Parts: sequence; structure tokens; C-alpha cells
Amino acid sequence: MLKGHLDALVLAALEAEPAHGYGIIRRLRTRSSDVFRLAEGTVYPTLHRLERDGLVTSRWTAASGRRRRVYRITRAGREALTVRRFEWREFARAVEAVLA
Amino acid sequence: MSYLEQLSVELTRVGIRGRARARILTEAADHLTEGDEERFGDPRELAQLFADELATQATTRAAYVAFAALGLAGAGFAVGWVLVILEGTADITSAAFLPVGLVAAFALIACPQISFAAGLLALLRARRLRKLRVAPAAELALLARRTNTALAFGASSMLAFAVYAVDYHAAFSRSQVIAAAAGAVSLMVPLAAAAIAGRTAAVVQSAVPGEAGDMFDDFPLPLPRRPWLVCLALAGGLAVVLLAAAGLDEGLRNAVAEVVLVVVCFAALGRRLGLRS
Repeated sequence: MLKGHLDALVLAALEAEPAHGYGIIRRLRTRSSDVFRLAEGTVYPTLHRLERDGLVTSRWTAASGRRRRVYRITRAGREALTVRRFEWREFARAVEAVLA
Repeated sequence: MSYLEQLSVELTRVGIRGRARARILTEAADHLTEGDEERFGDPRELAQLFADELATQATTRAAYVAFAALGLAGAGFAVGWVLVILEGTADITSAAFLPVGLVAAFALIACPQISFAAGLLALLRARRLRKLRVAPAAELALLARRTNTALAFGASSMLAFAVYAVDYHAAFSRSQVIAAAAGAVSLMVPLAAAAIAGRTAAVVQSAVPGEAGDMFDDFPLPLPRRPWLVCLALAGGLAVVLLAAAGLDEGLRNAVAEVVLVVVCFAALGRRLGLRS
């Protein structure tokens, strides 16, 4: 289930400020109170695809002598996130109505 | 072997090389200075995850590139046809070397049609797949077969055009022959470039399970799922158009030839192009 929403979760993690892959994982874990525990490497195929789709951009930076790829959400990414938030709320409301 | 070495081997195994592999490995190395290997995931599964996404995107893009190249070649072919062939239609027996001339003339009629049909099928499938994050490997293989068939017959059309112009040079001016041959050969360049893009895309191997589907999954219209019936209906429709265009004598000849061509191609290429199972 988490995999199906990973795009939106990654976009949401980048909404406030840019981050590198590990930073995104850390934000997801913190904001979900450690509920979201996915194989950390899986965030990278998602980031690369979001970049190909123009929803995020990235650039190399230096961090303690290492090369680090930092991702930033684009305007199209913010619009996509708004749409996905709306879709999720509709879905969650429907599930809640059925389960309640 | 270290984790990063394992990941490197697995990325190579699934066909991810060069800059794409280097970027993944650099990001993984950076990540692993803070995170741990166990949480990062199994290298084989991770490499396959990258490949599934890249293969879908690359194969779909290769199909679009091929269709654009075919469009360019097709436009050039049409212009050449109007300027050279229609201005001085050659007597079919006037070839310098008749067997070659006959083959070129036949190819000039058949190859563009096959190329157009295969290219259109590839485009329809590519449009369907573009909405998917990952597509089944069988679907990607079918898309690649359609793309390659379209390009191969497109290139054959160009070759046939050049050979026809040279072999029937007696019917045309010297400048027409040179323009036709040079134009046809130069239009093969974008087709070759598209073929190279397709081969590069095919290196990355998807492993997503699933069926390839057939033409009924591609067409937006609900057609009866009887491939041969659709084939005969298409052949009949084309025959009627040709009859109407050229009258009872020549039109009938053209219509019969077209029906035979469509049926033979459907039998020969139907499975390859996912027209029938």
C-alpha cells in the first residue's frame, strides 16, 4: 500500500525544503512516527522517475567531501502534490465511511 | 564483495550502465554513510526496480522517436513519390535489370504499408504504456518488436525507392535519379538513429510479469475479438477504396493485390506484431 503512494509521500517530504535521499527517508520516518519503514533504496527509483517527469529537479552538492544529490520540488511537482492530496483525502474519506 | 560492489554487479546484470549506474552508485554510497545496508534493501531487488522503470520509459520513448523518424521519412517518401514516380511512371519491363526492378516495385508498394501499420500499432501501444510506472516485460518486448518492424520496413521502403529510381533510370532524367537515390539514402539516417535508440533501450531488462496483450488492447474502439475477421474487414475496406479510386479494370487488379498483401502480411507478421495469438 505504501508503494502505491510513495510518489506523493516523497513530494510531500520535499515540499518544505530540498533534501537528499537519506534526508527524505528521515523525514518520512519522523513525520509518520516511525510507521513508514520501507527499503530505503526504493526511494531512489522514485526520485529518478519524479525527476524524469519534471516533478522534482536535482543537483550535485558536496557534503563532507562526498558527492550528494539534492532534490527540490518543482512547480509541477507542487501541483501534482495538490492533486494527490485531494485524491487521497477522497479515498480516505470513502474508506473511513465504509469501515466506520 | 561489498554492498556497493554487489549493487554495481546487479545494475550491470539488468543492463544499467554508464552514467545512470554511476549516479545510482554515488547516491547509494552517500546514503550508506548515514544509513545501514540492511535497511537500504537487497541489491538484486533494487537493481531490478530501477530496471523495470527505466525499461518502461526507454522502450516507450524509443517507440515515439521511431514514429517521429518514420513520419519524417514518410513525408520525404511522399514528396519523392510525387516528384519522381508520378512525373514519369516507368514501364514495368523497362528496368535495367528486370528481376531487381520488379522486386523494388513490389517493395515500393508493400513496405511502406507494413511500416505504417507496425508504426501505428507501436504508437498505440506506447500511448497505452505511458500512463504506467512499470509495464510487463512481455508488453515492452511486443512494443520493441512493433517498433523494429516499422523501422525495418521503413528502411526497406527507402532502399526500394533508391533501387527503383536507379534500375528504371531510362524513364527519368539524370537529376531525378540522383535526387531520388540521394534523398532515399539520406532519409535512412533518422531511421538508423531511431533503431540505435531502440537497441539502447532494449539493453535494460524489465522483469515485471504479465501478458503482452494483443491489438484489441490497443484500439480505443470495441472490436470483435476475432483477429482474422478484423483482418478480412480491413482488407475488404481497402479493396473497396481501391476499386472506387481506379475503376473496374485497374481498380479490381489493385484491390485483389491489396487483399492478398494484407492477408499474407497478417499471416506472416500477425504473431510478431501482437495482432493475433
